Amino acid sequence: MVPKESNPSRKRSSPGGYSESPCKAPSPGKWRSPRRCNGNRDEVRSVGENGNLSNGDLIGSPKSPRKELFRNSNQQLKWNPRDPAQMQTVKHALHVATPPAIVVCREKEQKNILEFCKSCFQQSKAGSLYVCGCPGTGKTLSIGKVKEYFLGWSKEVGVPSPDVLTINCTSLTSTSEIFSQMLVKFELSKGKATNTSPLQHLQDIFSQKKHQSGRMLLMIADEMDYLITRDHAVLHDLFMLTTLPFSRFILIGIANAIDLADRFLQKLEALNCKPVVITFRAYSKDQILKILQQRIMALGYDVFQPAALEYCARKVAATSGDIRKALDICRCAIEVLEAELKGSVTNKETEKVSFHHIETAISRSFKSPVVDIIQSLPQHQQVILCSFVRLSQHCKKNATTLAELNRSYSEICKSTQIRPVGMMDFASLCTALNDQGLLEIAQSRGDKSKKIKLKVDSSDITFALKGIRFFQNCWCDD
Amino acid sequence: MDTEKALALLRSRLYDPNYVHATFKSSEESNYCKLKFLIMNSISDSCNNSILLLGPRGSGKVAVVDLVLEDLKTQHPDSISVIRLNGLLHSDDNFALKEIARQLCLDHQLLFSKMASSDDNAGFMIDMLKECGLSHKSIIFVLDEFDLFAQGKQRLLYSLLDAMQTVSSQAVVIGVSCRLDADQLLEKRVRSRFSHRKLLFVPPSREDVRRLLEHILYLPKDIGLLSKYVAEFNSKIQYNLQDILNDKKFQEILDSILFIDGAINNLVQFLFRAVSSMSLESGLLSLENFKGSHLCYQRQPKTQILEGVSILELYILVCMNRLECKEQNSYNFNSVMKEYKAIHEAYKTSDNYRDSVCLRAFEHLLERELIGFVDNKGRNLSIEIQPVKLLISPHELYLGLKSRSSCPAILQKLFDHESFR
Repeated sequence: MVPKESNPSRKRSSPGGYSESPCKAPSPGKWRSPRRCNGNRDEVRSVGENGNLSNGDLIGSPKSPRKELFRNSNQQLKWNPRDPAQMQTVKHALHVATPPAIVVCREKEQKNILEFCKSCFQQSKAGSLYVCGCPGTGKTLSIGKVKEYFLGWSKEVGVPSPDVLTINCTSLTSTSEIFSQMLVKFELSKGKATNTSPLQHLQDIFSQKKHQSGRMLLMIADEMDYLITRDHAVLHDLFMLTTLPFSRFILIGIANAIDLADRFLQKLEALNCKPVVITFRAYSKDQILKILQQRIMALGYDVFQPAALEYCARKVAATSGDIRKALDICRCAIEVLEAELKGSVTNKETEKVSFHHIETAISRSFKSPVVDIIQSLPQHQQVILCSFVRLSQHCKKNATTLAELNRSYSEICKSTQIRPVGMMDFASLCTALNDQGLLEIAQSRGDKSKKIKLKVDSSDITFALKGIRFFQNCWCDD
Repeated sequence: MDTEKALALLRSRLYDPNYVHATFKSSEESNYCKLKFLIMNSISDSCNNSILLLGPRGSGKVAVVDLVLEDLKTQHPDSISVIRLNGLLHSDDNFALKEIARQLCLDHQLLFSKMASSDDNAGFMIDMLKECGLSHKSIIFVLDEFDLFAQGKQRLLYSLLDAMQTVSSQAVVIGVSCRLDADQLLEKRVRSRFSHRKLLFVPPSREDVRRLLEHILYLPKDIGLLSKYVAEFNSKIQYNLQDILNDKKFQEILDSILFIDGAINNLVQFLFRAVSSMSLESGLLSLENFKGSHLCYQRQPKTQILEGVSILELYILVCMNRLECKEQNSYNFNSVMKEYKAIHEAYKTSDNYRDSVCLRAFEHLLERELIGFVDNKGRNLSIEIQPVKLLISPHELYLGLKSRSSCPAILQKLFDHESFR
């Protein structure tokens, strides 16, 4: 997947009004599309400066973020959270789908990949590269940029630019389809005998010199682990294509597993053509902070308090290092701010997103709702969970049967003087807990001998119920 | 008749989920408002969003989604297109893509071809997303039983959420599930693309329950009934209803129902029974209606069966219970007979019958399914040696014995001797 990015030539050529999209849209009058980032920013600036709306004519060429920063330090645009246009731009800038103008914090990796491609190109030989890393570490984005630099470089140098095929392996219906897609894209299907498979045809082409057209082929295979089959044939054959004598084919594979190459491509190691592995490590706190700041600087005004951004970066770096999560938390925090301002009538013009908003946003995304759910369950279901915990503490085993659970449940009801429900109701309560994912009832033939396991941590249950006086007696015995 | 019309009105209200859940439309903190706020923002900001609605069955998740979508359709008729998928029907990727393509075609008045392959359908979906993005139309995907989509390779979820990572598309994915850990079931790639917004549907609090009851049970003044009747109903209901609602007994009934299952659906069923038993002569609701409805909830079918069982059969059941308490893992008719004879020797009762009579009683119990064979494999063996088990819990047996006035005291004593309560 290549992220769509702003295409300046297209925007500049579209006539006048930036307030409407090229297709006629049934949008209300003054509603501005937030997609035309550059035009919108200029408009917002003109509102702030002069007080009268310029009609969105482009004021000069689209600026790079650094130029805009310079320009804005003269003007000190104020962040007004009550202005819906500003809110919209901020949210848009922080959206995961919005591609940044430059990809920061991945310069080294991009350089490595670019160097690899250039060297393969210059030596006219094939090569394979494997990019791995956790989700949200910028692999697809960076490789998209590298592809563009590479195409630009080939134009500069004056060689015929390579054919590029970007394919996301989740969209393939069968794994061997990738070869037929390659044939189609690279227009190599001329002279194909009708009964050879696409793979064989490719192997034929790459082993003989006469079929070459002189162009390099660059293929980017995203989410490559979808190509893994039981006998690892497809993945293996794909990489083997780069080892054939006359292949001029650069393969870049992207996946999450670090050891994919080791596990599935051992024969390549024997042939001494293991793919080069480039690991995209999870973002550190400083890197996340830098990326967030770059996006906000492009806006031209200060939306976040610095401590808040740092807290967000620190929290995300500690858990997963996934930049999508950090962007999501920032957007969530802005929505928390928006909701807060809607309610209050204070006249403070500049309300930045503070530590407190980020904390609320983080608790919403990170906190597991288990404790809330347990606290809001009906009483008998809480007693059932309680009796399970008690049973597991006494008997030291995790699984139990319906009959034993019923016994434990009746004991607790007896001690707390509430009437226990009948067996049928008890079974349906357990089924309801099973549906919610708190218990797991194994499928078994006998009604009473089904194995039941607890899916929630018993400490969560004790924590959730400790505030309720009703259950305090239960814990006292243990 | 006015009372009949009033009854019909109340019943139709109870079975209209939109009406029931519209009670909470006005409060700011309700899930309805939060969901509406989120979707409206996504539409007006032209950005992509995803959200998960979690809660036990019957808590009104799909009803709230329907309410929100209806409101949005009236406000922005042309900017929304809704696609509904259900995890029970569409968990296979090919079916799901076909269904998405079909619904998109329906919405945009295009011709749908059944022969299209799943590649074509996938391509069509992505193209439509781009087109709608360009014309500022949002596509809202409602995925019911979301946890079932998370089985297997999760291709559909991945392709949907991946398509939302580009600026050119404008979509909202609403997942509805009753599994509270539904987002833990997602693969890490899919989870990374899914924004972690969750809306929890918890059972309503006491005040909310009260508001719900008042919302449903008050008659409006303008439904074409005799206004005198309406005024009387409402004022009597007002006093009556407040009386009823404030009555301690009613609170107890409500508590006992909500302690088992607090979902709104359950409450509505309880109210339906109560409203249906409203007396047509007086035309007003009374506490008796609610009590009667509550009794239906407390039915214990097995205890009711025990009321029609003969004394000999009761003896057999008690003997089997004793054998079970003695930790005898498997027993059959012959061992039950031994126990029976032992009791008679010990207590010298008058209920001593021959084996053949006891066998008839045994077969009766088998037919009524109060006892059953342990496994179905031993069809060739005679009844007397096949292992059997009790299909009724000791507590139910105890209740049955207590409710029988003609039950011999000896049985109760035998039972109590097991120190069972």
